[in-house]
Amino acid sequence: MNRFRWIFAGSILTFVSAWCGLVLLPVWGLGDFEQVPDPGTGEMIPPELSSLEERGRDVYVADGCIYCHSQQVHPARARTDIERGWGSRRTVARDYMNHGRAQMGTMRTGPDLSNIGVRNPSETWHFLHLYNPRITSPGSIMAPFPFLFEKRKTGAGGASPDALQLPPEFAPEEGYEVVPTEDVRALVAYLQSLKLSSYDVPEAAKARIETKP
Amino acid sequence: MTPSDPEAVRKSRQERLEVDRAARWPVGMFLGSSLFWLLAGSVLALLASIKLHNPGFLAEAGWLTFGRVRPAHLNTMAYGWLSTAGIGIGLWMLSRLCRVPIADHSSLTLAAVLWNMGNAVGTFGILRGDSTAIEWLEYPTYAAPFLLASFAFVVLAGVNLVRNRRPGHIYISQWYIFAAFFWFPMLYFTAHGLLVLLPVQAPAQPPVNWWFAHNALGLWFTPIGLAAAYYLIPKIIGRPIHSYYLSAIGFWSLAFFYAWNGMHHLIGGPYPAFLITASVVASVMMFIPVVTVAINHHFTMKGHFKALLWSPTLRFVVFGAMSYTLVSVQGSLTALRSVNHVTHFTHYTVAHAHLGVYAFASMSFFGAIYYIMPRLLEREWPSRWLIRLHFWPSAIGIAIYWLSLTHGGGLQGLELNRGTTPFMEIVELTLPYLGARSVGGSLMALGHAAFAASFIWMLARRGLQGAEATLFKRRAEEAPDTLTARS
Amino acid sequence: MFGAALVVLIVMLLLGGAALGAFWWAMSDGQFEDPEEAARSIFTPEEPVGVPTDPALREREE
Repeated sequence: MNRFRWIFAGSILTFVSAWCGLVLLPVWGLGDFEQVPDPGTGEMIPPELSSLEERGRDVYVADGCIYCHSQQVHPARARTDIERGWGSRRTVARDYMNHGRAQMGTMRTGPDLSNIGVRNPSETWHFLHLYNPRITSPGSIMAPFPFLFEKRKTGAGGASPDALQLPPEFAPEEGYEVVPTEDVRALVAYLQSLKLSSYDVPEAAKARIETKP
Repeated sequence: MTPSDPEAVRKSRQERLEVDRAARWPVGMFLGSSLFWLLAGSVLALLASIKLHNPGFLAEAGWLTFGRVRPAHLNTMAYGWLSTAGIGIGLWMLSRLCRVPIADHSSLTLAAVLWNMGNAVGTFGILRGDSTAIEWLEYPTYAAPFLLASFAFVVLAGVNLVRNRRPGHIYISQWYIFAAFFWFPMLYFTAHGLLVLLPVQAPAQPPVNWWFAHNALGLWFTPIGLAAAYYLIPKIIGRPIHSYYLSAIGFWSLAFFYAWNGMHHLIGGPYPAFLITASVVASVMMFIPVVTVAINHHFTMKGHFKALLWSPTLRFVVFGAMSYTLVSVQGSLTALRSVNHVTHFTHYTVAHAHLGVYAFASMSFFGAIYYIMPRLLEREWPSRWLIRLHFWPSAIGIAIYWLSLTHGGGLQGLELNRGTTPFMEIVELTLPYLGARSVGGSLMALGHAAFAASFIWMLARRGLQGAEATLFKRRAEEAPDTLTARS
Repeated sequence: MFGAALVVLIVMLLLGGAALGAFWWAMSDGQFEDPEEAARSIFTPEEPVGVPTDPALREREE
């Protein structure tokens, strides 16, 4: 029975040591980043989210965008992310430091969004896409988010400047218009802020070397 | 092999009846509640599945948007169905094996109420828009106090059973259950603390997240499922486990390696390479406990496989045990970087997850419930046909589910790795597989409806116990001085 | 944030220590002496080795 003794003692200790390895080490090693000045402009990078962008991040979290979209660019030697235009370099840990709640994701039912703010900055496009993805992207299986918009009667003076210009098959009935709510404005502001590969953080130099397969 | 000492038989029957009767209310509450959540989770599952190939389905309201329904489904199934059933099954096995009737009736009643409230509040919270979007931990923070308070009572009840146990051997199932009862709160407390209450900085969150999520599978559901198989397979066929020595090795190597697996969910991401490699190695080392379990169960069942034709409960448990081997081998292979390269980010992962939580854990728990309930209620399941209507749709359903999403996910991954394939084409190619998953899922839901119907019918037949109960009628014939009361 | 991790570390070490304590107790209590007897411990005079406890099986095999 001597053999049991060593296996058992090791196992108990290893549960705690696994915790030290997979919880404590990451917290100590990846949990204490600080902003650094951009070598060119001197601005602190990566930038903090504005309060509107933070609200947008909360909408992203509440509506579960993470279940279809990732936010992590992988190096060219590993995946086709850079080839697909999802980022100019792979993302590094510091890029996420101001995100509050990490939304790195584990599914790519939809494309990666790390740099959607670079790839697709148009607010109008996002409003249309979020109202019903099939407007901008035929064949998409993404959920529509009509509840992030308000359908209301068109005013006497005609359509308001905010109203979405919807194609006929998606437009509301005569006399009604669709306008964005504060929530979707915030969400779009958050999406526009996603430019994770754009920052010249210290780790970026090494990451840029890996942009070729 | 009839026992030679009628006095010993009488005494052990009396003891067993006391244990089963004391368990009736506390265990029954947890098992009954778990079925409610199984049904609720099945509805949420179907909604989520349909929405992926029919995105316009019930898409007007925020409550039912895919991004809320999907986490609601996951958490309801994890904490409402599996965990609740796991608590009930664990307590009953602990009580049986310690040979001590459960005494903490009031605190366990409170625990069951609190546990259900936690799940109700949590599911409602996710649908309302308060999800944390932390995978496997989406219940908003206000659900946590209910769950933790409830679990404290469960652990206390477990400790009391172990403290008061009859002296003698501690069976392997007791180790698994007792360990799981401590591992789960340790996991939940850490994860909730570091990710929700006082979140660490974002770059550190995914490692903590997936340490938790993978260990919820490996150190909470798996031990209960294995405990059930180790107890029920030998008990049902009447033969001891093939090698107790092997089962001890299996237990400790599981504890040894499983806890290090979590980072295999993060392969390729912005983390130190040594961290990922540690998890990949640990994932492959899982072959050791998995093979010991497989060998053990196989040799225990050897010569008795025909029993699967007659015993529905054995069928569920053996299906679960075999699935454990399958899903774990698949998991070890999927952790290899070369395989993961294709499967990461795809529907393949979802199929793998369901092979574990459904084909292994849920089917094992179904089998355990089929064994436990007649002993709690002292009457038999009302209809063999309803049990068939549960088993076959569930088994065929998960087979369709796993085959369709594994194949579709694999193709999805191969195309994702071809930079020239337009993204929308990849979406299109997955559509038939997503549709097939809805078919498989519908069959599984049908099985659950049959299960619930069986359960309710059995509860409802209050006045009819005795005459139809083949188990107890036969025992009365064998031992006329039976103490099975017909009260 | 470090503080939170430190608290959790201490709790984890305490719980891990308790687990170690349980192990040493088990060793001294002789839990690992006789594995084959342990395997038979789930059977009772009422439900002995060789007798199936599933009603469906008992119908078939008896």
